[in-house]
Amino acid sequence: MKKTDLSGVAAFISRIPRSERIAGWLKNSRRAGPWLTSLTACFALVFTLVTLLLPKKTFSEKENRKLADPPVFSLSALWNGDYTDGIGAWFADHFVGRDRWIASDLQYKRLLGFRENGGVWLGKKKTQFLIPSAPNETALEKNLSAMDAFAADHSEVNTYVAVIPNACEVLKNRLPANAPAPDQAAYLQRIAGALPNARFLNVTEALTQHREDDIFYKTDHHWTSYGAYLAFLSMAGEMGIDAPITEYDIYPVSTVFTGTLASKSGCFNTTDTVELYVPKTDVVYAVTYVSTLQKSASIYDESALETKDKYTVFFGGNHPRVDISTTSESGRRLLLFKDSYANCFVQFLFPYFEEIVMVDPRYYYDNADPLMTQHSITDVLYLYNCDTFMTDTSIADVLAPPAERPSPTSPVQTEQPAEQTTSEQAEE
Amino acid sequence: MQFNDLLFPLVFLPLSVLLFRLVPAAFKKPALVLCSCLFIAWGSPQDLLLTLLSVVFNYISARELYALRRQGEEKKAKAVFLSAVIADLLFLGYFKYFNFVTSNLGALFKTALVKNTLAVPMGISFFTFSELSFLFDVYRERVAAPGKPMDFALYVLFFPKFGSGPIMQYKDMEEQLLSRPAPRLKTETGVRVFLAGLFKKVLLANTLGAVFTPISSMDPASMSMVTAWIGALSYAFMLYYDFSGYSDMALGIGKIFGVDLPVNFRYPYLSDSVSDFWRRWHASLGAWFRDYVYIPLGGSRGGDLKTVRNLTVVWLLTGIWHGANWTFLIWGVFHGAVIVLEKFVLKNALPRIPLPLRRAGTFLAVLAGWVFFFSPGVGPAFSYLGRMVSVAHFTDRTAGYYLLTALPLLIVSVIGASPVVRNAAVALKRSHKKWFFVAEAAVFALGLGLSIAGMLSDTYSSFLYAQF
Repeated sequence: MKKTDLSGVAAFISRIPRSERIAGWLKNSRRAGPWLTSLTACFALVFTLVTLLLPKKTFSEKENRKLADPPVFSLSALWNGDYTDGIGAWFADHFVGRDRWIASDLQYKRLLGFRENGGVWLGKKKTQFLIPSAPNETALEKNLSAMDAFAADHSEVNTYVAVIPNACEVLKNRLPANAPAPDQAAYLQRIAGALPNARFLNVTEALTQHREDDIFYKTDHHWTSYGAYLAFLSMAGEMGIDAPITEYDIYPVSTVFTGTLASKSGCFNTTDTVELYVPKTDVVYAVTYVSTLQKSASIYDESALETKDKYTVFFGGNHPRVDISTTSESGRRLLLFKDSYANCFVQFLFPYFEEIVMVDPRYYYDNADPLMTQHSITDVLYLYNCDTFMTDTSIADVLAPPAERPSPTSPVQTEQPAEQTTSEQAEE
Repeated sequence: MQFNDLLFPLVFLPLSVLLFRLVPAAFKKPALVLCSCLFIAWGSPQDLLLTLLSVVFNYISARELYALRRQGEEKKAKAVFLSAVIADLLFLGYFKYFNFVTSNLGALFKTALVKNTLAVPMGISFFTFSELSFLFDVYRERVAAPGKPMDFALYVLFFPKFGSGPIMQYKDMEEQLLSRPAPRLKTETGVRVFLAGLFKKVLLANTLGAVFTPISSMDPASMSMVTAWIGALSYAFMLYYDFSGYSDMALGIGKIFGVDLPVNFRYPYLSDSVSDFWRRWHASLGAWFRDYVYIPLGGSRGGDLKTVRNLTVVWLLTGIWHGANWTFLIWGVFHGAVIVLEKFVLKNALPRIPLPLRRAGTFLAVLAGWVFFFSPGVGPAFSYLGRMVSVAHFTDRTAGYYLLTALPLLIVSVIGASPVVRNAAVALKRSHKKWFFVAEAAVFALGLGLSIAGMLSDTYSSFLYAQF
C-alpha cells in the first residue's frame, strides 16, 4: 500500500520541471510562516526525545569519568537545589551524540584560531601538551633545601636527582606558534645549583636528540618507555652502572591508548602505543605493595590494559610505597623518591639493585629517614618530571627530621591511591 | 536556571510556550506565574521563597499606600512609602553589601565581625528595582491602581526579565500583557531575537572568555603591552556579547509571550560620549536611575552645583549596584567624572571633534573603566592600566600567541558590535530574495547546532551579570 502511494507522489513531482520545483519551494517557504520557530521546535523536540529514549551509558571513555546518574528525589535534595542540578547534569551527560557535539565545538574553536583547550596545547604532528602551572616558589625552596639537607645528612650514600624535562621543553618544535611555554632548561639549572650535596642528572640532551621519535605520548602527559630508556642510558654512567643492558624484549601491549591530555582537551585525533621494555637479564624480582601488603611477581599490571588509563600498566598506578627485592648481587640498595614518571623507569633500574624502595611523597605520610637504616640504603634517586617537581608540596615533609614534621592526620595511608579515581592521577 | 542552560531552550521554554498557548485565556497569567516560579525555584527553592516574601510585602505596602493617598492621608502615605523603600533597600543591602561592609569595618577596627552566609537570591538587584519603581509609581500616582495580586506577581516574577533584566516599568507591562484580554504574540520574531542572543552568548562571549581567562590570571606586572590590550579588548567584547546576548534572549522570550521588553543595548561601542554610552549600554538601568534617583533629586534644574551632586549620587549608586567592591565604586565614580567633564568642561569642544575621534575616545574611556570592572582590586587595576601604556614592554612571546588566537575572534567581535551585519542582511534580502532565505535558514541551523555543542562542552560558564 505504502509503496504505491509514494511512487504516485514521486511521479507527480517528476512531472514538475526542476527549476520550477525549487522556486516553488522557496516561494512556499517564504510564505510558510513561522519557519524559524518550526526549525527550533524540531531541534528541541528531536534531540530531547532521542536523548530520553536512547539507552544510557554509565561511563564516558573520552571524558574519562562516570556519567551522572538520574538524581534521587528527596525533599532535602529539592530544597538545596541538588535535585534540579542533578537533572541538568544528567540531561547534559546523556545528551544524544554528546561526544560528537563536544568535538564539533572544538572544531569551531580551532577554526576561530584556538590552539588550546581545557588546559592543553594542541600542537603540531597531533602532539598535545599539558599547559604547565606556575611554579610553587615557596614549596620549591622548601623542597630543595630539604633535599640538600637530607643529602648532606647522608653523605655516605650517593644522592642523584633526575628532573625530566616535559614534552613542552623537549618537543618545543611541535608547540603551537609562540606558545608561552616556561623555560624548563632554566628551571633545571636552578634546581641543579640549589643541590650542591647531590648529583644532578640532566637528560635533556639525550631526549632532545631523539625528538623526532615517540619519546612522549601524544595524547598523555607521560613519557614513553622509549623516552625512559633514552634517559636511563644517559644516566647509567653517572649512576655507576657500568654496563647497562641494551637488549630488551619490547612488547607493544596497546596501540589504542588515548591518555589524559586527549580527555582534557577533547581532541581525539590520534592514539598512542604503550610498550613494555623487559631487559634480557637473569635477575628476577618480587614486588611488595607495602600499604596493602599485596605481592606480585611483576611490575606490570596487565589488567590496566583493559581500562582507559593504560599508562597504569606500570605498577597499576601510584602507591605510597612499593618495595622491590631482586636477585641482583650488586650490593646496592636504592631509595627512590618518585612521581608517576618513575613508574615506567623502574623496568630499566631493577637489574642493578638488590632492593629498590619506591616512595611517592604525595601519598606517603611517614618520615623517610628510618628507611635509610632499615634497608641499608646505598643510593638515593629523586626521579620527577619537571611540571610535578616545580609544583610539588610533599617532598619536604617526607624528608623533614621527625621533630620538625607536622603531625599527619593519619599515620599510615590505608587507601590505595591506585584505586582512587583516575582523574586524580591525571594531575601528576 | 539560565537561558543558556541546555535544559532551558530545549525543554523549559518549549513546554512553557505550549502551556501558555493551551490554557484558556483566563488562566494564561497564572500559567506564566507558575512557569516563572518554576524558573526561579529551579536553581534554589530558597530563592523563590525569599522572592515571594518580597513580592507579598511590596504588594501589601502598595495597596496601603494607594488607599492612604485616596483618603488624602498624605503624611501617612509618605511614611508607608518611605518605610517600604527602606525595607526593600535593607533586603537588597543585606544580601549584597552586608559582608562588604562588615569586612571593611572589621579591617578598620581590627576585629572579625559577623558574616551573612545565605546565598544571594537570583535576580535580587533586578526584581527589587522593579518593586521600588512600582512603589514610586503608586506613590506619585503614575499607575492608576495596584491591580490584582496576580498582575503584580507576574510583573515582578515574569521569567524572561527576572534574572538579569531589562528592568521594566509597571505601566509598560500593564499595557501589553496585564490589562489586555489576548496578548499580541510575536513568536517568529521572538524566536529570531532569542536565537541571536543565544549565539552571541554561547558562540562569542564564551569563546572570548576563553581568551580573557588565562590573561586575567597573569600578573599584570610582568605583562606586555600587547597582551594587556588583548586582555582588555577580549573582556570588553565578552561583557558586551554576554550581557547584550542575555538581554536579547530576554527580549525574544518576552515577544513570544506578547511583551516587548525595553531594548537594553543599542551598539554601545559606537557611542560618541560616555553620556551617550549610558543611553546605549544597559539602557534600562540608566533609565531607572534617571527616573527614580536623578530626576527626583532635582536633575539638572537646580544649578550646576546641584547637578554635579545629583550626578555623583547616581554614579556612586550605579557603581555599587554592580557589586560590593571598591573597584565597582571607582568604576562608577570614573564614569560619573567623565560625564561631569563632558557636561561642563567639554560641552562646547565636543561637537567640534570629528565623530570617529569622539567614538574612539569614548571607547578608550569605557575600556579603561572595564579594567577596574574586571580587576580583583584597585592596585592591580592601576598596574594593569600602567601596562596598557607601557611602550617599554611592547610585546613578547605570550602576546604573539594570544594575538594569533584572538585576532580572528576580535575582528568578528568588532564587526558584530556594529550594525554592519544587520545592514548587509537587509540589503541581501532585498537583492537576492530567493537565496537569502536558504542562506538564512542554513545560518540559523548551523548556529543552533554550534550553540548546543557550545552549551554541552561549556557547562562551567555562567552569565556574568547574574550575581550583580
